[in-house]
Amino acid sequence: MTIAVASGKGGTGKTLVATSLAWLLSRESDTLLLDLDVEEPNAHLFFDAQLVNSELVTGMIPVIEEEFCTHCGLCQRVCAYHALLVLPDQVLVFPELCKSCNGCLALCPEGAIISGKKSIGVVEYREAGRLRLYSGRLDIGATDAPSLIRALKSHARDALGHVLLDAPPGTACPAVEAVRSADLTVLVAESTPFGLHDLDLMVRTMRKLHQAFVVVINKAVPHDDSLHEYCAREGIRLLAEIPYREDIARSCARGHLLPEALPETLPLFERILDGILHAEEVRA
Amino acid sequence: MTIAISSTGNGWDSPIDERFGRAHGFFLVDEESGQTRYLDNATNLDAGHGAGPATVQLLVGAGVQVIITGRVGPKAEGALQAARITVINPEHARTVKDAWDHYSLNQQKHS
Repeated sequence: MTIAVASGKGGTGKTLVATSLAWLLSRESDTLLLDLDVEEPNAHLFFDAQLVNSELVTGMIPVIEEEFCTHCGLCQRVCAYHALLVLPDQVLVFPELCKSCNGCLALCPEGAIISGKKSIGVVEYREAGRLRLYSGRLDIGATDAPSLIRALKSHARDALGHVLLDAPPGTACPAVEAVRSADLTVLVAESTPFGLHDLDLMVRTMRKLHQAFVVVINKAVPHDDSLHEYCAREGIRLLAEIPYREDIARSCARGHLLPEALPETLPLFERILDGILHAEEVRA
Repeated sequence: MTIAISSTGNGWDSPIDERFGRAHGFFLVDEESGQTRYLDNATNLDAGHGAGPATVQLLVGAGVQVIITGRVGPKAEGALQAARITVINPEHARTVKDAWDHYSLNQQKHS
């Protein structure tokens, strides 16, 4: 089963939930964790894991063969990201704006564009017991997170056992790329007005994508029912609540695995895992 | 020669727009004929990325050779250089007319 852990808002506890579940699963079976938060990868900090190898990930950029170019401007008009500027005597390429869509390459009537490469980031591979962990690290200034996320997800093809995806925050392309291949997504929400607002954005995104999801509340405070009311109103299953507690925050800040560091939280995560593995939301 | 002034509107009295790639528009003056026209830049004003290069493309298409504008980003700067468009700072000009008068005066001084 492929399980994504996502949220609209950042800092709600995606990595806390993803690493705790990965640790729990890996105690009994081969488990793969992909840290898809490529702008801020941190899942590896929670494991005593050895770096096994790292690979460079590249994206396509157009290279103009000036001797064939007629400066017709078609490539510039089809580029949604303004990565090409066609002047009467030359074509300028802005690699940092290019999203490697291949549109210009496919449509150039003169065949004057060939495929070049730019670095977009690295994929690091680590092992800790039965856990295999891949993390993506986007180059500074690079914008093409989805391509790096796809490179990370390619490692899940031959995976044995369950796959956990620690998604990037937000509801934009990187988050969509992360959750679109999951069987079930766990949305981690926090008990704040901002948390509720961004959960709603993510719920609407998930529905547009026709993706199955459940909600876990993190940093739950007593006397705040806003998330419960929201989930009840929207017909969303609330799997569990992780309480708002200083010792939990401390454990997380120190890079400890919560159910290992605070064993009294173990039943909570076992319940979350059980709810995921037997979720009726998952389509057959 | 065609001179462009980044502007918030279509008129000599319009306040100039300090931004280049995300300027509202450009007030164009044909130096020889004295004719003026306005290029709307609304699509680039709202662009997610690459407003600078896209705006340079707009000016190249309009045959602009001199641009009077405030801040030019690094990508646009390179693009303007490649397109051989001269960038002039409007100094303390507040309106299109101020910027134009300042430019004309400097041209006379140097000719």
